Amino acid sequence: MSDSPPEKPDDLNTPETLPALPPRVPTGLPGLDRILGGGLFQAGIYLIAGPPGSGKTILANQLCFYHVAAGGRAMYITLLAESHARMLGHLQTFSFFSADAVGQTLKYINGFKAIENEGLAGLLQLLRGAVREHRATLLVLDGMMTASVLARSGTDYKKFINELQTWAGMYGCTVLFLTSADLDGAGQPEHTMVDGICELGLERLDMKTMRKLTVHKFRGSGFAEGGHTYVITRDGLVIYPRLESLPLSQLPERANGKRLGTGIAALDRLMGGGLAYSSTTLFLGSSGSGKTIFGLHFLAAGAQAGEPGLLFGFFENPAEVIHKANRLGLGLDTLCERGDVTILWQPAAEQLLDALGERLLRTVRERGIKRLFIDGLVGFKEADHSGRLAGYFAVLAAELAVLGVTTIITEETRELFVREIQVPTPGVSAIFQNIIFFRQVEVEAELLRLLSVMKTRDSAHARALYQFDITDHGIEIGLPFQPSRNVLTGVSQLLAEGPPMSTGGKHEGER
Amino acid sequence: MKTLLIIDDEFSLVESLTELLSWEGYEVVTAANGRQGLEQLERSSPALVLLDYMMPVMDGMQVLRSLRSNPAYRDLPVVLMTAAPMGLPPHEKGWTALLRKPFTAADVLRVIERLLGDSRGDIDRSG
Repeated sequence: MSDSPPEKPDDLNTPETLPALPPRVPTGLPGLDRILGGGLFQAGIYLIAGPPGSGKTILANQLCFYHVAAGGRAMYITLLAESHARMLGHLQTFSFFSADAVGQTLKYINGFKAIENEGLAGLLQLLRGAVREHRATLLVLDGMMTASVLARSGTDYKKFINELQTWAGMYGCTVLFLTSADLDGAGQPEHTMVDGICELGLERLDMKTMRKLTVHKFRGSGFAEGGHTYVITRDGLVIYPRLESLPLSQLPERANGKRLGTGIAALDRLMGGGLAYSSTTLFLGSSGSGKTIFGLHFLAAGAQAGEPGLLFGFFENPAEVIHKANRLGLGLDTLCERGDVTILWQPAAEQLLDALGERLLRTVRERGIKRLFIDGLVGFKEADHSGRLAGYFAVLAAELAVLGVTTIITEETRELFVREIQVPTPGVSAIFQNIIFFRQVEVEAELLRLLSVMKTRDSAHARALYQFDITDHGIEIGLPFQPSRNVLTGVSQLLAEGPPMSTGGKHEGER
Repeated sequence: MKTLLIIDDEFSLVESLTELLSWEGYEVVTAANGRQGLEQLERSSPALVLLDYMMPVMDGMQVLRSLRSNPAYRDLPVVLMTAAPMGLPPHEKGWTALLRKPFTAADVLRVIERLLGDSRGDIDRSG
């Protein structure tokens, strides 16, 4: 027997240090990682629930293949789900599939015999051995409904989850349970015990199906709440976080009164010197009133000023837009070739609102876009099936402002000759710092184009109606339109002889 | 085969540690609270004790006091396991090593191997 004191304390865990959160395990799906704030937590147990066909198996396999490609080891255990041969056959069509990983760093085993012969204790033994011997850092258990059905009691099932949780924690192994059980079922033990619950759902909207992912629970950090749309592509699940649920990237840059020329000097003068830096402007008017041409001038002027531009359009394809701009002498083909202007065309097909936002913001970030022309708002409106547009655009505009992007958006009025001036999309007008209204009027059997600056923030602006023409040299804005009756009806009557068109005269806003 | 005594009221952890340490070639005996732990200590003469800090009936510090007051157990390695974030007992209270929960299998094996020398039970795992 010795009188010496006990050994020095082990330095593995000192009393002074608080237990840290486990490291994150990226899922390999950028959208899901954004929703979760960086990925799953190592050694956490997560439940992925959804009806057949919702993509649970694809998602879990996608995570496995990404995990092993990043240096981890994964084990996929099925319980009365589809056979491995069938599953692997289907998976081969996805881009994430790697035949080299299967059977090496990613193993598939069937756990049904273990649970059928020895119950949950047998299954637990199988899982423990799988984690330990394969050194798995990701474990998928596909078919949790089978496990819950074959459990002798609720307590047995809870005990199974609890013991697996402890074992997974000891080996730093992250676990995914897949189930097609309805999440609404009250009192299901796994709901309270797991570290996170993610639901994949299908929603019918008239003739189309919308896929929606919802995170119901995520221990250890905040997450983007509510539903997020996703699609299943050749690359597996592509998830688009709901724009309104994401935090802004950073504080907005200070504008310091900087203004951007629109490429039309006369319009800049009407607006007190151009568009405020990082502002959002609405071009409102009927079809053919000249909104797109004004937008193209804005992008061309940006290219000359070294400010990369983006045309995010829904109507005309790139060839048509370039042809239109070149007719005005804007040389858009050259600007595109040089990378000064990018055209992203969204063809007339079913679009997802958040996919549009993701594509737009990704391009803005990747290309350092400073001028954005969205032609037009209706493209977003048609992709909105939940009445989200006002909130969505408020966040989109704020994010663009944060990124130092000055934006113009077009919206069509319903009628060629407008009687009542209002923004057709409800709830969005408040997000626009500037609104310019384009209209056409009939004067003595001739259609004239007019514009008026209805709103500018942080500057004075001209209040009159101005006639403008679209010529081979671009836009020419004249003096204030002559006083007349019934302009807003679209059929105007002159009260006196007006002055000739001029682009160099003094304007009301300059007085 | 060396015997390890686990005293912990957390059933799943006791199960997992038993599984792990048995696999590593140790004989494992367990107790669910401090009083049972002291009784098990007398019966099994373990080479090392894994002792939970917070337990019903007798907590880890009470077990340590009782254990260290017996000259037969004065040098017995005791690994104190705790999930308590702060307010841990000072080393003078008699524990040999501290493991903060949750710990990994590698953590616990490293501590045991350090305290018991290079032996890991009696299983030759070189193959």
